[in-house]
Amino acid sequence: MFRILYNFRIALFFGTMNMVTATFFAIIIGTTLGILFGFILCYGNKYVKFPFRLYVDLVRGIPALVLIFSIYYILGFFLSRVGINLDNLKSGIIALSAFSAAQVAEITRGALQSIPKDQIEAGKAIGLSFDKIFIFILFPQAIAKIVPPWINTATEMCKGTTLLSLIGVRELLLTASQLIATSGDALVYYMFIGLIFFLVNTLIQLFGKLLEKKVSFYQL
Amino acid sequence: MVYYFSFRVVQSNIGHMLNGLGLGLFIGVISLFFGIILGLIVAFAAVSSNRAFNNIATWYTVFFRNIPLLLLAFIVYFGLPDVGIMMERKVSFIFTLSLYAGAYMAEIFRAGLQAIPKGIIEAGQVIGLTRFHICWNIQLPIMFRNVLPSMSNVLISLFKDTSLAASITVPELTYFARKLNVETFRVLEAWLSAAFLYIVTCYLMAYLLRKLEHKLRIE
Repeated sequence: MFRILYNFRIALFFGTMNMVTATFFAIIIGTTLGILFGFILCYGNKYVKFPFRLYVDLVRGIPALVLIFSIYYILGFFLSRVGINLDNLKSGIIALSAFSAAQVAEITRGALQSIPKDQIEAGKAIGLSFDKIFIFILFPQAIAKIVPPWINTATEMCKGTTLLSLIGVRELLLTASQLIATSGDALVYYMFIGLIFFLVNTLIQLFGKLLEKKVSFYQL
Repeated sequence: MVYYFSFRVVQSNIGHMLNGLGLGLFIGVISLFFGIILGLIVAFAAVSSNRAFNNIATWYTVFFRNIPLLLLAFIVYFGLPDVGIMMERKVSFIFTLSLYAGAYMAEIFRAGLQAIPKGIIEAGQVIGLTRFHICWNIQLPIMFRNVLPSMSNVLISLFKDTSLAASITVPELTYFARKLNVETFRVLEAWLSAAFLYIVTCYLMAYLLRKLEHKLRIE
């Protein structure tokens, strides 16, 4: 059993690398955009808010798989008209980032809105400008509330990379399926990559717990 | 760059797509049903005083929450035949989704059970109810009412997860959208209409579930 896995170690290694790359970029891009969107959703005026609200609601209303297919086929279709070939890993990363951005935006909005209004007023009363209030008062408290649900989103993204196999990104699941097509032993391969996912997710959760400990300092 | 919309292909396939949507809803609801049963068993195991039960419950939830659903579906559909368990496509996906839902429901139910004040259970003991009666007539009704919002979230996300069934060629909405895309090259129409149907269904479900919550709320 370990022999077959050892024979295909290189393919499995590259599969893991693709999975980690996609997860990493999806989390980084998604978190950055998501926090920005969440900020706008909380403090923007009605007209600024509207497109972001629409984006978040639409993306959260469709399944991740449909989003991935839509972006892959629609973006690929239009880019191919202007002569650009969209690489499927990139389009997958775009889709996953768009997905996690919507999730993180909603988390951030909730966190920012849960901070009592009188803290802003208190900040104004002692003469702080809004950016100072945001940086020193609101954001530290918000981040303490963002991190716990953010860990969930991050593991969702790691698990979501398996969906990229359906648009032909050679990540772990597709690698395993291709190896199974040549050598059988479906259960062995699938269990093995299950183990890899389990380990990566555990790592993400450990990292999240460390982060949580660090930022919980700001929680009142 | 101009794109001419032509929704005629969607129009002629709308029956298939709506059937697919219905199948997705059916799979989602039935998986939630099995997931609730499984989740209840696991949640009671998690809050019981037996260490072995606790460990089993923890491992079950940790395992199913850290493995991608698509991988689980592949394990069940392609992997289990290696050890002699064969299932029809839809059955295999319902089986997968129920196991997956069970893990999420277990977490929710565990939190719900732990949130019930001890005093209520003790009151039940005082008036001489059996353990079964305390569980059935006191713990479960209170817990269900409290966890209803989280349960409706799970139902909606399960419905969205049924799109993964397309990967093992269960003929649901995503499957037809992809088929339409590949066969007719009406890229935008296929995906926009699929996304539209999903969004409308999700919103409708959210609306109805919120109504239900309002109805069952304790004043």
